[in-house]
Amino acid sequence: MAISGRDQRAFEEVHPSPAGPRLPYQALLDTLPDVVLVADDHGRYVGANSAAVKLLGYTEQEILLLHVEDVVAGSPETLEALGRDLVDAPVWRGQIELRRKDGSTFGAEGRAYRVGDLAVTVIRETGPRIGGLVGSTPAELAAIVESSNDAIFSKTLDGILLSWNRGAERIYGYRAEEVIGRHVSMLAPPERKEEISDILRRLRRGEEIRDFRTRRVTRDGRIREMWLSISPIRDATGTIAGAATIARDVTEQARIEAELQLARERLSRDITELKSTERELRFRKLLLEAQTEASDEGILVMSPDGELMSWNNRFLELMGFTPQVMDGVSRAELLEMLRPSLLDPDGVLDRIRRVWERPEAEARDQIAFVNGRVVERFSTPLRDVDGHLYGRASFFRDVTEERRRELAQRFLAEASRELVSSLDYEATLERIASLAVPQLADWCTVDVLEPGGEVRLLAVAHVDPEKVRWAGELRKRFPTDPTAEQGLANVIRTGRSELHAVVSPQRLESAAGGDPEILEIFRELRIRSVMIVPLVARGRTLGAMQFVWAESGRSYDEDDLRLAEDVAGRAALALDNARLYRERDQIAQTLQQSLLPGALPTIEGIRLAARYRAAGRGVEVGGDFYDVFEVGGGAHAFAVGDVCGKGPKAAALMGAARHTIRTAAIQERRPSEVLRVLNTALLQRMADRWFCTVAYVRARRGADGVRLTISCGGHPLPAVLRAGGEVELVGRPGTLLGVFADVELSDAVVDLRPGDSLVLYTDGVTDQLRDGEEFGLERFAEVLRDSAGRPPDEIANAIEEAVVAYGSEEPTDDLALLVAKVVD
Amino acid sequence: MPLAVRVSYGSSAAVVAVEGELDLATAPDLERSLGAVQRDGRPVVLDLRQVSFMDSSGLRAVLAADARARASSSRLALVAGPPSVHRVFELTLLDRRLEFVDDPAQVVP
Repeated sequence: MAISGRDQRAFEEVHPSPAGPRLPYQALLDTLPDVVLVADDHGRYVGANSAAVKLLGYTEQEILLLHVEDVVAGSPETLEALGRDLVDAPVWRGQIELRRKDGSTFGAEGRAYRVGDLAVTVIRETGPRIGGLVGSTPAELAAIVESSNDAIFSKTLDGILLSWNRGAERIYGYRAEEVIGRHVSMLAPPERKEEISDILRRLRRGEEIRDFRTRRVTRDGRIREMWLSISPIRDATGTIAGAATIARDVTEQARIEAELQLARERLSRDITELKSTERELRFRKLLLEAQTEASDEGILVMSPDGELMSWNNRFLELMGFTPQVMDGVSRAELLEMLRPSLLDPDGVLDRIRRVWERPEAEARDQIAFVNGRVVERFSTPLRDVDGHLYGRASFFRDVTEERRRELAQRFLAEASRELVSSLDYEATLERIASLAVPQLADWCTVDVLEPGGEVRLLAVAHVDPEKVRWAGELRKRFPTDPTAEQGLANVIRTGRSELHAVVSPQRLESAAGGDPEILEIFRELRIRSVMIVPLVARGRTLGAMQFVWAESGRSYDEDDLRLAEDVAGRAALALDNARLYRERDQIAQTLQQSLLPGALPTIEGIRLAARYRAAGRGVEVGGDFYDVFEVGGGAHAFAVGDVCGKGPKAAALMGAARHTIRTAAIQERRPSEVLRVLNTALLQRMADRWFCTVAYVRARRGADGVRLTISCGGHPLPAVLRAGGEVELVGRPGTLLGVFADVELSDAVVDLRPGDSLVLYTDGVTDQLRDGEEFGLERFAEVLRDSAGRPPDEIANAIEEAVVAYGSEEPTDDLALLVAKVVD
Repeated sequence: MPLAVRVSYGSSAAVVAVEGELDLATAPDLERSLGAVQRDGRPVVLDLRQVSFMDSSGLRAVLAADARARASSSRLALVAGPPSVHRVFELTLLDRRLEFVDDPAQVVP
């Protein structure tokens, strides 16, 4: 049993009172047949096992009052030697003599271990010492030898066994007559035969062999752990004649020692584990602290009664506190310290206090600070595994960015919706300015750069409508100085944003340009922080947006500026789109105009008049068209068509249709064939649901008039106004074009006499509504009848005027008219 | 004048009854209604009897519905409107291409 000093310290950690009456592993020690005594470095016993109690005759309590000198007999020198050995070497082995309580002594084989400050002595009663035999009578000796529990035998220096006591018989299993005269090596297991010759050599040299641990084999082949002590025997002349061996079967002892060793190792392992667990705990604690510190969240822990227990630096940072302010502060005081930096102090403090009143409550809210930062608070009761409430933890997270992004996103989404929902960009920009208030500004204004270079205030938004009016008047009275070094004019001129996080009184003065009246107004407005961002789209600066924090006391930073620039960018795009829209509008109309014949051709014997009027607003140009062209052989073609749909696409299709008709007319004579070609061409190019109706007329002068061949592809039938005023619809309905691959188209022939007119029109004429009632064919025919005998231009005028006059509403459809009158 | 579109579901078909003017402004409403009713592929009867006016925009809505019905192997039938309305179908010969019925109940799946 060897316990190192290091292990002893481990011992102490596990057993905080090592000097207590009970030894570690007392129970195990109590099972040992050996005496175990533990003394401190003053020689006082601090522990003993039951073998010690039994052998020494003291009670355990009595032993604990004893000193080593009371028990270990012998001279002080012996004791001193023992102590010295103990200091010099951790393990001491030797023979000692112990004194019982009754004063009797006995020899013992002892080992002492140095264990930290303690000396552990393990003592085994060895019976009479060999040395003690000298001087005893042979009879005494024989009696002692025979009665001994140990094996005692003698041998020659050659190893021949001479005597064999009962103890030897018992331990080795051989009777005396079986072994005497045989060589002692019979007792050694094969691998230890060498050992025997070695021992004999040493004996011959006169050496004494003490406390020799080895293994021996018994008669029945069992291997036993043996303790041997071998001394030379001298004859009367002092010559070594042989040797006497005392052998003790220590197998059991070895087993116990092994067990002890095992127990020690286990203990050591346990201690190591305990230590590592503790180390781990400590490590975890450190880790937790590190995490807490490294955490992006501020953490504040309070005890159930509201005492501030712990917090991390992030908490201080978020709240704007220095570590010093936390010294001995109560939570109520903490709240009051927070007050000046809060945007809505009463509301926030109230919410926090309400949570304190309910220890079980969880709470999540947002705390807005004057500096614009927003911190989300999550407060939750803390419980241990048993559910016992041991405080409250609050976690604080800076959500300024998140909220800003959220707000920005919402603002941008709403602004974008506004921007696409209306083409009235002025109204839209006003809406956008008002969307910015109050989340992003107390004031928001939009200025646009007019073509003449002047800056016009287009939109003002403020929570107070009174101030909106005021701002307008202010601008009127004090127009923006376009040469100013800073401010609106500068931003528009340079296209670069300005951020005035905090507007100083000096800046306010310089912005007022020395005008005391303006300065007074500025002061009254309580302008605190200003952003001016340009409205830039497609590389052009169209104006600027101003965001102002005034009475709310907040201020802008770079992030706000980025958002404002984003918003302004979108607004600018909308503004520019509106401009482009207007332009596109004009382009579409121009396109349509350009697609119509510029001037009608002159045809011998025929007078022509055409009208075209686009209905609806701006970009919604229709797809109506008309065309007149020569087709060869003295013949001409008249066409009127309507591409269903509006806008540039319809106009483009109309252009394509007109072109196709012209091309087809070169190849095909028959109008129905021309329309068939058109139908095929349209099928290839038209998207779903787009279609086209066309009335196509081929006119050829004959001897006494003009012969018309008419084909209609889904188009209203042309009208013929006879010289006498009769009106008839000519031609037969045919399938509309651009939808079906197979179309039913026919050619109808009608002859016009001089004075007769062909009137081609689109449904914009007949479909004109008044109070839900259409102009209709009847009214159309009536207008025609009334125009009989008049030149085609007047007929066309009459029709257009009648239609426009009829309509109570703005025309929703285009109108195209072509009048061809046969003249003499 | 606004357009009123009423949808009723009979045992065999959905009847979409239209009342009012069918023009550029209102045709999208009809298109949406028809699109929604046709989504499950059921036969649809478009009742135009109460339509007071229809122009090519209305025609476009009808053609789109017809195309959807064909694409889903379903059916679109129409109940003709007043003569001024029906004239649009006649002029374009759609009266021959589309299925016209006298009574919505005539349509069986």
